[in-house]
Amino acid sequence: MITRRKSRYVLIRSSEPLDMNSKADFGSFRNCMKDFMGERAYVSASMQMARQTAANTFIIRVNRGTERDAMLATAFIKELNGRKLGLLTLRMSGSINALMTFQNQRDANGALTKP
Amino acid sequence: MESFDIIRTKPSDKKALARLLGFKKILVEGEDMEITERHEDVQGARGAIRIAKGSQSALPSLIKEGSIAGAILDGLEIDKKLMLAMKDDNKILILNASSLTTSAKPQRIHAFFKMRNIVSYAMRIKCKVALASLAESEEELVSSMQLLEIANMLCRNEAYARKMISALGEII
Repeated sequence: MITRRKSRYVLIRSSEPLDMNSKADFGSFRNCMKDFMGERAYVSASMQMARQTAANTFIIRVNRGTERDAMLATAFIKELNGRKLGLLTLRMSGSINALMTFQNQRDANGALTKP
Repeated sequence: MESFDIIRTKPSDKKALARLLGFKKILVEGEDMEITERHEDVQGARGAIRIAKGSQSALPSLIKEGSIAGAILDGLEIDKKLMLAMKDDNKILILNASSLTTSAKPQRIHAFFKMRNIVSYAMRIKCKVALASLAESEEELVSSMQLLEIANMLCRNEAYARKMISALGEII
């Protein structure tokens, strides 16, 4: 029997621009998450980078049931790759499209992504 | 569920920020409310919501003023008699989430256990407790989802955690 992996996507906004497609920034983020979540929770979450949607906004994918731990861990990250910043978890969804729709709506109304 | 926050930095667009972070309303110090640390400031109060801030030795005299809606604790020690007095006067105890999110690891764990004891006692005596970020810069801001998770971490009770992040609505 093949079981489908069920995921949750989390939309995160940073106070500073980040390049989460680079090893340096994403590696630092991953290490911080591992530090805050602990090994067991981190392995359970199986976190992956899903998409960088803007200079300071990105989406990560975690296993369903671990998204709340991931959200809590992002609240404690105040430095990445030597830079001071803050991470805000804006929305959580079962699909990336829903998060992209949310982001596009917010961009139309302003105050989501920095230029 | 409506959630509220208090911040100490002035955003360019308060409503847009509240909408972005998922809060019903964000109270900005200096605009929507005043945080007072001295008796003289309290006695001159007019109109705006006033919150007292001080150590556990300074707060008892400050919170007796009728215009004070709540109190922010400086530090992590609080006298149980003070909490009982706040409960009797219907004042809200506001906990600072930034002391958890911005501390280094050893201090953060220490702060977590201290705050959890405060919340545990408050739950037992039914004293109103609110959790706010009290962010002084953009880096210290948290979203409503993150604030709910921090509250959940403190009280281990989902219903009470939701009450903690919506408690500030009672003083608006």
